[in-house]
Amino acid sequence: MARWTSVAERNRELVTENANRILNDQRYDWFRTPRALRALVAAYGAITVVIPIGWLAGGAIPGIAAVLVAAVVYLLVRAAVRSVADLPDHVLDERLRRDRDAVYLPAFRLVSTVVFLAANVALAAIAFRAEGTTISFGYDEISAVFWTLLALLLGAPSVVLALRQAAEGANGSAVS
Amino acid sequence: MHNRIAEAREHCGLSRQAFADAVGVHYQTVGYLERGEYSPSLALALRISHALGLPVEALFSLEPATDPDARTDQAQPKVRS
Repeated sequence: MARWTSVAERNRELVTENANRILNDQRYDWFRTPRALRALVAAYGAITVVIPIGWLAGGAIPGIAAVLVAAVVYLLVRAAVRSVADLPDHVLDERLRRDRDAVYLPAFRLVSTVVFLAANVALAAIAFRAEGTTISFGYDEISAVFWTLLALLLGAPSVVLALRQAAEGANGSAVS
Repeated sequence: MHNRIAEAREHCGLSRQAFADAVGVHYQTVGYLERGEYSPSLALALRISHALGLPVEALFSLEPATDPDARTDQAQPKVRS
């Protein structure tokens, strides 16, 4: 029991150290401007659309390439918003906690709307397919759904936060 | 809600980072507070007033301050710059 407590404490310390480093890192301030934040969100939206197209139209290689690009853009979006959407309570101050908590409802609405629309498009495509056309659901199709959903679920909170910060136009400065 | 945090902090010669460390918030939050874009909780308002050595009512008000110099020149920082 004591061993687990010490592991948990060490883990908490590591999370705190890492979070403080991320929160105070000003190296990436150049892509925290409203324009850069919107560009990152647009890039993430575009690559999220490209993931299923890559898997369904080209197979594994274009699909994996799209996933890798999405992972890079996801990390950039996270760095731009200082990972605030994913950090625990004890490393955030009360304003950052408020900002983090406020993004989850819009993020949920965004994801549920996209999934609802995509499901309807898929059902319509099945229902109104040309006579004699067969629909297969193999590895590539499952990968398309899996990676697209993962990109949506992981990215939505940081994307919403980036859009909010872009709307506020605040990029923060430790100067003065 | 209006506040005079920026005036009092500058009067005390504290940087945003030093002030943020003193009250336990991120330096960006100091900017939000000073611009009036974020209203602090009571606990944070009390920590701010303690750090600047001023009563809460000298720092925060519901109406804009009529005398901009009133009371903030009495700020006595409880932290080092």
